Amino acid sequence: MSEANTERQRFAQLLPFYVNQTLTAPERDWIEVYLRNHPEAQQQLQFERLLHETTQQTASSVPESQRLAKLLDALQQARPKPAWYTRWLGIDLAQPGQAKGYRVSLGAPAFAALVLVVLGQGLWLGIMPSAPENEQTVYRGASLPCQPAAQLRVTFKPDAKSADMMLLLRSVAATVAAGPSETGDLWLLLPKGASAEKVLAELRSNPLIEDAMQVNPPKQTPDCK
Amino acid sequence: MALARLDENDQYDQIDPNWDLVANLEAKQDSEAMLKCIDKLPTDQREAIFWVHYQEEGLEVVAKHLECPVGTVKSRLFNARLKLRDCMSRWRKGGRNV
Repeated sequence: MSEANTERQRFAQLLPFYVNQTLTAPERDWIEVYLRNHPEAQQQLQFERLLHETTQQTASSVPESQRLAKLLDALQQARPKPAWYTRWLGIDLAQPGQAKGYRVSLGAPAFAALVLVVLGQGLWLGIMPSAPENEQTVYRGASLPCQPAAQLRVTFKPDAKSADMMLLLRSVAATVAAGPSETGDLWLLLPKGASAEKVLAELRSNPLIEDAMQVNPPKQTPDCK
Repeated sequence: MALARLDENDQYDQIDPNWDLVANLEAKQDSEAMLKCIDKLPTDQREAIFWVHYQEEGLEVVAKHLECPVGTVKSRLFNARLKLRDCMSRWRKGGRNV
């Protein structure tokens, strides 16, 4: 049963090529044997021949010249249109260095001349961008380094020893952000979550401290959290 | 006169005695119906038929033209034949509206 199916399938696959006479000799022989053994397959053969003959008789009523013109139109429409700059300047950005032959001779020099005129007039009238106003404008693209945001400024008494000062700062978990200044001021950073008021009160009560005050942190760039 | 008779005889001689008007008409109608049925096929199947039956190319060549495996060509031809048989049988049953 399965063999018969396979044979039938093979016959169906080879039949179109038997009719158009492109089969190899062994395949053609196989088909002929199959046809002899299966008379009912003659109907399929006739159908395939009808299909073949009908297809062969197909002829266009349109003259060949018109068909060729139509085909050419279809091909031109199917071709991707070049970008406006390619058409006018002859420059293909997808393939730099290769000028397209659209309107190279006129477009590119005309565009260059136009750019020169606009630039020249702009410089003459002073409407072109002048020198940058400040340093920040010049370095607009460069990000400033993040400054540690000092929260407290303390002034130790002149007789305070550095070891005592360090112990005191460690006791309040403060770190030195900047200083000392000429007057001996230190700018301190507090850990996250620490209460500046509480630390300030603690520092003020310490005999080593001459003065302590809260300072506004400098403005940080958006990158600095 | 004799010449005219000779021409007449020649004309009769040229006619095929086995020529069957009804069979010929049916064949012509079948052919027209087949064309209509082919037009209704999907493009890929019509392309396969074009290469096989119009251009008379072999299986490998058709596969190359259609840029697909030979198995795909076979299945397109097989499916096309199924649709054509169905379409033609409906036409023969008197539909004419294939």
